[in-house]
Amino acid sequence: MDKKLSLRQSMDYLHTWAGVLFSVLLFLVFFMGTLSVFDREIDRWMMPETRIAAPRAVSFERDALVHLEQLAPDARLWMVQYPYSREPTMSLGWMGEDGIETRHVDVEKGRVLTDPGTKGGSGFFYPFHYSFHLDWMDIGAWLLAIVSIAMLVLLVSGVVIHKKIFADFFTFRPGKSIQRATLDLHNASSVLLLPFHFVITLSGLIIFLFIYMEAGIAVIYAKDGGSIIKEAFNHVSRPAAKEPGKLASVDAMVARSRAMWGGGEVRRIIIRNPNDKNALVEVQRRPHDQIVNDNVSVTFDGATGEVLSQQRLSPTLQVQRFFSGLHMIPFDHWWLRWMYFAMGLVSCVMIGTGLLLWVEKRRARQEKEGRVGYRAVNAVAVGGTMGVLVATLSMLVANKLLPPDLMDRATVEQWVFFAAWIIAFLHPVARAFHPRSRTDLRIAWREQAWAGAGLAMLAAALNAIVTDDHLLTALGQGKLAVAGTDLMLLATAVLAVAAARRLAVHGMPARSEAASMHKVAI
Amino acid sequence: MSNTRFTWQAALTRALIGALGGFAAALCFMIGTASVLAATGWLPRADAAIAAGMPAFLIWMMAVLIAFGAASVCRAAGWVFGGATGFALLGWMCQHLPRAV
Amino acid sequence: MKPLLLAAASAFAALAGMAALCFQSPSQRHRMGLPEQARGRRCWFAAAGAAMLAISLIAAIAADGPSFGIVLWLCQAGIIGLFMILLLPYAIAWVIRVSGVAAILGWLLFVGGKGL
Repeated sequence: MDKKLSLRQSMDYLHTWAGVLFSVLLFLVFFMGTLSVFDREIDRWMMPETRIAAPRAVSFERDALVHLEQLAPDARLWMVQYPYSREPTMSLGWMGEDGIETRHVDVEKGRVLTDPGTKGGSGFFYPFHYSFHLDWMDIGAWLLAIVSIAMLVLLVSGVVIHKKIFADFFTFRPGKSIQRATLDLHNASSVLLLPFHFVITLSGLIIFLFIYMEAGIAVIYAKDGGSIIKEAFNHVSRPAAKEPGKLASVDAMVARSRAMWGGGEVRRIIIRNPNDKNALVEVQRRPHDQIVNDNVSVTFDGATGEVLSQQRLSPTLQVQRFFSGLHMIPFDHWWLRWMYFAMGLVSCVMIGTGLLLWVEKRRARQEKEGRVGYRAVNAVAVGGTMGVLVATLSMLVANKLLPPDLMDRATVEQWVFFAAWIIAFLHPVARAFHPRSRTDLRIAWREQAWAGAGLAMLAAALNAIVTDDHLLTALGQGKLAVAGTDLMLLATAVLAVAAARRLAVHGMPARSEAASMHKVAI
Repeated sequence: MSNTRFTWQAALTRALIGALGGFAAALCFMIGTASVLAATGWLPRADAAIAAGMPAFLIWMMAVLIAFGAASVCRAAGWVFGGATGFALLGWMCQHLPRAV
Repeated sequence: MKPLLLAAASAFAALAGMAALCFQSPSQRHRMGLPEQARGRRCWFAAAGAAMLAISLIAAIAADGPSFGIVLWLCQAGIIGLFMILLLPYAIAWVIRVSGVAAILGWLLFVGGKGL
């Protein structure tokens, strides 16, 4: 039987243990999510061939159809992503034998680019954020659900246990002990951005509503049948006629769509059964000027060009799409995008400081009792936070060092990430139990901070050497995505050096000092 | 800091009640609320499902908090599964009983 | 030009507002070594802080429309506030001066932007 605890005590217990159990996964989600804010810019950095200006005008017939008819004449599905400022190449996709295949097109020059040999930010960091690259049976999405609910629980329980939440609103005392400063940083980063943390987590769940609530939807629709997707999105579908057909002018359909939208840009065109009599062409609008992530798609009969349906979302669905837009930032607003990036980094700081607090508060007691749990958690904390940074930077370095014609280059690059991450976990474990370093938990943090600084500078330098686009050149030529990524790498290096030096100055406190800190209340 | 603790058995049980029971409660909340919204004609079926589905995640979150905040494991189970049952019953009634004019 | 002025006004006003709320907190003043404030003065600071944050919100909505404006205001106030908190222990005098300038700039840019 468990002891009777007060509400604050039970929330304290929940916050502590949910924190330590889910911190690494939460850090992964928030770190990869933060990188995903600028995933297209990272793509430009990792795919030098795509560092081109966005084209002035795009024609489906001239720029996409010509290539699709050569690359995938028999495919059941064609997808064309139109270029824009953040993604200047046109992306052609089709359903092939091994799944979806894609190619990039330089519209101005009219040529299909070679396989970039990398997944880039949008193909690796972004899917890592929402699925941990565990796609089998949506396991990654379900893991994300559990982690997200844990995050909401952590936020609410954190507010409940924070006794002086308003009095301590602006508290940050770096001059005090590391533990006090860490707690202040944890509180400040959590409380000031509480609306962001809560909304970004809840909106992430709402995006996947149709997956997580599938069982509930099935029960609601069991009695009378039907499909929620068809009802909610006015989705038109029909099977292939298995008779040949010719596509009508898709450019005319695009012009008609623009007129129906009252202006706007095309995001994507999806063509189902393209060379069939029953072909369907769906033209989707890019929501660049609104938060609601609404495609307002128009569906045409592929053979005749007749409008079959226009998606008009109900107010309820607009709310769901609003949350989606709030999370995925499909709109053009640079200042807000940079705010999201900064808030994402602060979220990572919140999670990291929480882990550090757990370790520090237990070290004194467990040392006395001869237990080593705190050392294991510290090792996991290093690998799960600093280690992720080291692995990411290793992947960026590999992106520049791996030969362009290497077979399965993209896969090799990803294996570099995971290999570096495994090493980043083994290193602090070795340090934790090594006789010379086990009393100083900060050695692993310090060494990985130095490694991170070195890798960040190396990545920026390699970009200059391998691609001739060093920082000044990129700035001069208006390649802001590349310059921005280089600047962030240099900033990362500076911060990592500063962290490593601070960790060297503030070594492990003596046992008695640590014991007195143990009494510090939240 | 957590000087106080549950036994590991109690913590595990409460975690399961919160995680699994909470998910069940969320689903039942969605079904119950959507059924009420659709049966009363306030919203079409698809909109009712989506409108009920969005706050369902908050129900899941609250279930976890209740699972750990309740005075005992039995009370935690009672609140969470009782709530789920209540929502499920509401959904069943709206789907199967004749509609009032 | 007008949206740019109003967006800048929003950012400056947010900084000034967070600073005013910070400096009215008795525990914060104690930590910064500032003298205790009389109750009336505390209320004045709190009201000034709230007013600056309101100006920040109005400016953000005027610059970007209601939905973008509110979202930007929430994000901005939090990040700017956090930035100020992290700087305070290292440069109290500088933060006080910058906050004062930000309050004046925020007000001027707001009036200028609305006037255009």
